[in-house]
Amino acid sequence: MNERIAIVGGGHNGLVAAALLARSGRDVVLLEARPELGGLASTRELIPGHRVDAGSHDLGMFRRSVMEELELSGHGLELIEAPAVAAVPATAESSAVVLWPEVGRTVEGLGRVSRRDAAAWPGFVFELAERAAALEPLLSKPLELADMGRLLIVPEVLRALSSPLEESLRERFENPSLLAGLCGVALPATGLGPRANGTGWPLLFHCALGGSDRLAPVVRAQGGAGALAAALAASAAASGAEIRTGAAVSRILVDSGRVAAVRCADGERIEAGAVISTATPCATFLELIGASLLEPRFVRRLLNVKYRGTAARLALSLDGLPAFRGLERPALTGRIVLAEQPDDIERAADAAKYRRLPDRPWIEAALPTALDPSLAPAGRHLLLATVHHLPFDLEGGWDAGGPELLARIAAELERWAPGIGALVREHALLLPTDFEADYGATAGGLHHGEMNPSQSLWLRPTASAWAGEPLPVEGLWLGGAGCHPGGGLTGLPGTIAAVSLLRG
Amino acid sequence: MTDAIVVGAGHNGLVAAAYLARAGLDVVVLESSAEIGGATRSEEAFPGFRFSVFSYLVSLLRPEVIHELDLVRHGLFLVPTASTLNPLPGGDCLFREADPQRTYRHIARHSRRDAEALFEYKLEMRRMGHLMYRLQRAAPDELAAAIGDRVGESAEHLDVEVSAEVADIARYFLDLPAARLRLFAQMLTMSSADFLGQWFESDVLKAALSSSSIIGSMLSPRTPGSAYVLLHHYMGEVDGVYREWGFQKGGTGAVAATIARAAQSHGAEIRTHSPVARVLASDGRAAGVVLANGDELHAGVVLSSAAPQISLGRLLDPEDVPGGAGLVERAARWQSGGCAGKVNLAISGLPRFECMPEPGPHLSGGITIAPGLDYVDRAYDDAKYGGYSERPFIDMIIPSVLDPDMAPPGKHVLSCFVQYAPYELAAGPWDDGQREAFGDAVVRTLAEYAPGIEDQILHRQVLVPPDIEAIAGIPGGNIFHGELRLSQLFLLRPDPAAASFRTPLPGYYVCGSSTQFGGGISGGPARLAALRVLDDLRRPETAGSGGGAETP
Repeated sequence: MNERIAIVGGGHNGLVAAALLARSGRDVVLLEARPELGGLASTRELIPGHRVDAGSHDLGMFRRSVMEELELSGHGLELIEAPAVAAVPATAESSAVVLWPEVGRTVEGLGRVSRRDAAAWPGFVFELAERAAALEPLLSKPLELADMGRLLIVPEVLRALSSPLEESLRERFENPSLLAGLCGVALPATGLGPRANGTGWPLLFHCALGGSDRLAPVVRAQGGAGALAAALAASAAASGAEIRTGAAVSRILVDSGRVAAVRCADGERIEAGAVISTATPCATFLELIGASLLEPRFVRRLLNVKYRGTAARLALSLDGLPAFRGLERPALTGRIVLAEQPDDIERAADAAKYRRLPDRPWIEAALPTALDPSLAPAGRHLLLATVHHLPFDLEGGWDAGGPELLARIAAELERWAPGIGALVREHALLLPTDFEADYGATAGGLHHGEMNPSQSLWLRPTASAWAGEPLPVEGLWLGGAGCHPGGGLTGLPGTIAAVSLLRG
Repeated sequence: MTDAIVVGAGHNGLVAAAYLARAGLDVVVLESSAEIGGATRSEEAFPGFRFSVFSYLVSLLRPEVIHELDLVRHGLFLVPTASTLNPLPGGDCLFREADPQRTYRHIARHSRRDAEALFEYKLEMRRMGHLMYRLQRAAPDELAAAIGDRVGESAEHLDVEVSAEVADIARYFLDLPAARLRLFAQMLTMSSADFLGQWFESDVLKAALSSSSIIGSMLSPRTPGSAYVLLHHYMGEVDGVYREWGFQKGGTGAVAATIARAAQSHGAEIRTHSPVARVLASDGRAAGVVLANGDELHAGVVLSSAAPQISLGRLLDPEDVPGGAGLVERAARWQSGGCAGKVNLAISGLPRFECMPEPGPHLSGGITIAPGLDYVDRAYDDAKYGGYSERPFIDMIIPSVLDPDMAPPGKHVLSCFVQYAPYELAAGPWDDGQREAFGDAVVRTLAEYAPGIEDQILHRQVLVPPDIEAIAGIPGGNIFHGELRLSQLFLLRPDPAAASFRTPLPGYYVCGSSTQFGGGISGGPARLAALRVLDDLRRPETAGSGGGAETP
């Protein structure tokens, strides 16, 4: 049998797997279709002279142990931790709120808007950290049914898995901006509004992987998210892995139920005894393997994976820092949640249910240049406005919907940062359809499948099994965001795939 | 000397009383209102017209309760409601009948693939229902201990002996094939629309089947967790026929009367007009109750069938129990906001549905207005933001077709269970004007499918969650005593400290819908609670005195 391992996809998970396997002395070839590495965590020149992160750019959840093992700092990765975790600017009707990694600093600020909320904050962070710490070990290994049994006797985990986030938050907090900010941190990957059951789960998930005691801190790579991919690629290459870009895989070839090779779009056949696919499970099996080799029941399972809650990203090149009401410069370094109250997110999720654009999109904004000025030419700032809770199958289609969405985002930004329109010099817009076309993200799902309880933990595919049943092709391992523990820049699905493969 | 006091004469309180009395205990049931039944009640709201006021169908009543309490002898008489009609706009419909071949043909008009898939779906749901049905035979702590035994996790803290039967249930559960466990895990977390989407493509059929997933819950078919409510409604049977729903002759109040007769036949005493103010504690254990009028009634065992806000809140002095403050705090967090209203109509003749205008068997089954998932979801969205549904989901039966005694000859009663109606409106508390406007919305909606019905209405009774709260004593007016979601089920129902039916106050127990798997006219929680009491009385080191118990 061929000892070579082919890795499909050069997103961060594929690169992590490649680096770990090469380090263990395995013969690895990684194949990435696009000209640049990083996948949904790549940095592109979408606006001339600007380094724009196309997708995820927050390294707060990336496993430090993996960074160290792969010596990423030696391969050029520099991390910048943002002074702020999240901020909600003020509007005419609502007050500004800033969440900092330091509990005391947050309490001080909250005290100005709600004494009750300020008093409740330390207990909230402490309890969340405690629960998150208990969960963390289960997110970095393939889950077995027995793990679920252990997890499900913890009342607070059951609560997170089945209760609405807003309901749990309202037990402690009253300020609408604070509530909106926390919902804005938690809900992007779900497609669900904060009134939906099970939305407590993503907040717990974020805290479990994000350094639990600091409530999901914002950590970025100097030079953009693509710098993580570059460091991972350098580490992998240093250990002997072969990394190819512009090499689209069109087929994973199976012989007698076992992978034998991959075929590239240009016809080249690469023999491999094992394949790790970081494409979505749907794309891996239905496009690369082919439904004809699979049981109809398994095909049906794949087709029933949900990808709702896609996003669009607008990148703006600005003449200066925008003035978000009530926020000082350090507060602009983290996530900026543009929602006055949880129901703003709920109503956006409602619109998506009926395949419509939200009247007033809620926006997760970031000003990467506030942390790293090198991302834009001198004097310019980069603002990334991500609109979550969009329908992929928009009524009327995205050709018409794109310009309309752009207009609505512009109106919202102007409301939150008056005068911002006058600062805009250039823009680029990535629509849900672009994420599918450019990155193979099925239905534009940035996390390769909704991060809801029904598609998490034991119910999410893992390297070689899916909910207790082995995957149907021998020698094939899944290692992308569609696997446990899920999307986000964690490196964990890739790590789990590599470790599982090494164990055989 | 009274051995046991049961607070509340809803169907669960009565079941508990019947089991305890049957075992030889001297039992008194204290009911605050003038009538027994709680949410299981019938009344002659208008002269000659009888209504099941709230709950309207029976399916979940546990067969062991029926047999052990000999309820048929005491008057249980269930008439099966064999079909479900979903009228659709434009005179179309989806009709599901008892005859599978006819149902196949009806569904195939909408989707042949779905008609094919229905058989497989039903088989799978039957298996899941059977699993739940078995799990429900076990008290949660005993089941958890049994599962712990098998997977090698200590469950000593649960302080319970595992019976052979429950050990068997645990083995059955753990030996399920992975595919079935996956389905079970999905049912605990998924939305019913997604769950049903694994079999079906037709929006009409998915909406029809998802009706069971929202009944009594502030959920839409697209809300995660609704698949569990679907499962909850798949555990029933009538006369051994799985998944059959039945109508009790005389209305559901007659079910309560039947259980009351069974309890009385064993010597239980039922006192109405007897509101309980609090549970009396002495030397760290329950010693009886104090009534609202100040009277004390002493007993070694007290059971409450009320919701946790009452059982573990109002009735209990936190000073009397270890961890009392936490108990009270958690009880206050209990989610039991109502979501449904009941509109009972007295009508001059049978309604003529546009899709099936002539009288026929469809009128003796359920009739549901849920023409599509978007429709139901929009109805839910209205309530989410504090309104009642302008175009509501309606689950309707015509009891007088099944039991002519419910209405004068030629006339009928129409029972409409309506969602969604929140406990509190954003515009302020429910008043008569809003109640009537809600009633109008229901009639308007019905008239879209049964034109002319508005002219047939002789009387109209509109009940909303605050009415259910006031009449049945359920805080928030939630018909299940609390949302059916993972955080409020099994070892967390009604509270981690009371999931064994025992509360932190020895001798004081909970036995209502807010215990075990809860909800619906099942009697299952109360039966297990009563058996736990009897078991504790035989093991005095656990529960102390109380005395007088014989083996049931």
